[in-house]
Amino acid sequence: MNALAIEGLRKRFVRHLQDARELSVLEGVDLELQAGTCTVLRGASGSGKSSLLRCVYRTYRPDAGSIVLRYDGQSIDLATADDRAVLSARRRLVALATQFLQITPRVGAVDLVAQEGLEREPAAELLRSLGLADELLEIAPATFSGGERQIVNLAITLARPRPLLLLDEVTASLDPTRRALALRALSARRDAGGTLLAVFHDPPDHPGLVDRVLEMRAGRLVSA
Amino acid sequence: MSVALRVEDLTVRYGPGCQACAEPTASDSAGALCADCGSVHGCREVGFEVGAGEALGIVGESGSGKSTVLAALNLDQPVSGGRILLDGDEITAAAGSDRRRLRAESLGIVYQTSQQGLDLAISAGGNAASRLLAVGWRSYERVRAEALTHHESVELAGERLDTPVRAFSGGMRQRVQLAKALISRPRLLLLDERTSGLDVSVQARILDLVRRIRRETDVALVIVSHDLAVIRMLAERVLVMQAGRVVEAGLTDQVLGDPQHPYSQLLVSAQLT
Repeated sequence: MNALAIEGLRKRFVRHLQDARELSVLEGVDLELQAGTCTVLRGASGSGKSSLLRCVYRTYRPDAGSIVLRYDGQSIDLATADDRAVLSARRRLVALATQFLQITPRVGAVDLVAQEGLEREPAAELLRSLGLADELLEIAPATFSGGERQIVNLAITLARPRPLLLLDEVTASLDPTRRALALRALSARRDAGGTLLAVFHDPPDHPGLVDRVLEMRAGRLVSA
Repeated sequence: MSVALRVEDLTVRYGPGCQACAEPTASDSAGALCADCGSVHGCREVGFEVGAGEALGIVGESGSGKSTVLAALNLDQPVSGGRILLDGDEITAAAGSDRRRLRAESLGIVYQTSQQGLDLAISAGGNAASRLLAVGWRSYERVRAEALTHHESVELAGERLDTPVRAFSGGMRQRVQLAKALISRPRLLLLDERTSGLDVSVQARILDLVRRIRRETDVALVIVSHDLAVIRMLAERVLVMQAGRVVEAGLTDQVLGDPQHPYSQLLVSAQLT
């Protein structure tokens, strides 16, 4: 049974400020993901990788096609679900992590992760396991380096056991040691039944993490 | 999730109105003034729902109708058409003691300016306590204790409880308004969050307080702001208003990341990043 089935997904932007010029970014994407697998997307900048993740998360509103997420014997079509159903799905079922952390003023790293529904101690442990230094745990990430922010971002993404993780360059700013820690955590999530759809700039070198690599070209998936 | 607030076809018109300005397509972009009868629409046919524990943002340029909607929800502003339902009960035309009780018990508001929301001549505690007195609290000790609890919960020093609000800074007055709004544990909190006059550290504190309130209560929240970053931080859904109408509604990250309406695209593109 697939965990996610995408069919005929199309997305174009209409730029009203530029004479309603149209920009097509997804031109009919079909993709099935099995539960407990990690699929990596690669392709040139602008080929549609991030747009595909954002359509699944519904940050972008798809123009056509379906995005059926199955869970606990139920299913939801994220392409057409109403806004509140999408919000509910985001809380329980699907997370999107990008390389950028939205900065929340004044809230320390541990509390940011705990706000996802963890106690403080497991939240701190999660951050430590991803390589965040002890002395940074209580500090608001506004002053963090790019890599430290990325660790917080990943911890927020992993805090809840959501079955589908959409990962957009989540290790781009990490040093090799922390990159390995991040990949190990993602691998553990995959082994626990999680479904991962990921964009990586460099192919992840964690043995056994990647089940399939697909290439995107001009808004379409082509076999790699 | 239970619907705390439901707004249907809310219209506020200043002036008699006529057939021309009642047309659904009237004043789509040219402003809200009717050329035939001179009526002005503050907002027209605005509809949305906010669940308990949810937050809805309203954005749009000055004059787009954001504050008119907020004023109508707080029963400050009579409406010309449409309905407002709070927990399923229609409150649109509440008057007299019903209106007073709703405003004191079920609705809480933080106005853009403290002069609107507070009596500057009386103490911070007195301002907050006025809502409890309005709904029949009589024990001085209980009222004072409750006022102190809320005063401190918005990070104001307890020893300032008896200070007249006039002696408070802008950021502190905003927190006094927040304490006053929350003291009666309202179902609906309305926030005119145009904090551009406050320095960024003060704004950050207010935003943090509002986020905490959202985690700790199931109050329904409606936030008006010019600042898309504020809306992104506080509200998961957003309405974009232009010339009194809702031109786009959606998930906040979607409206900011993939705005559909020309006016939404203009707003997002004008945002500093």
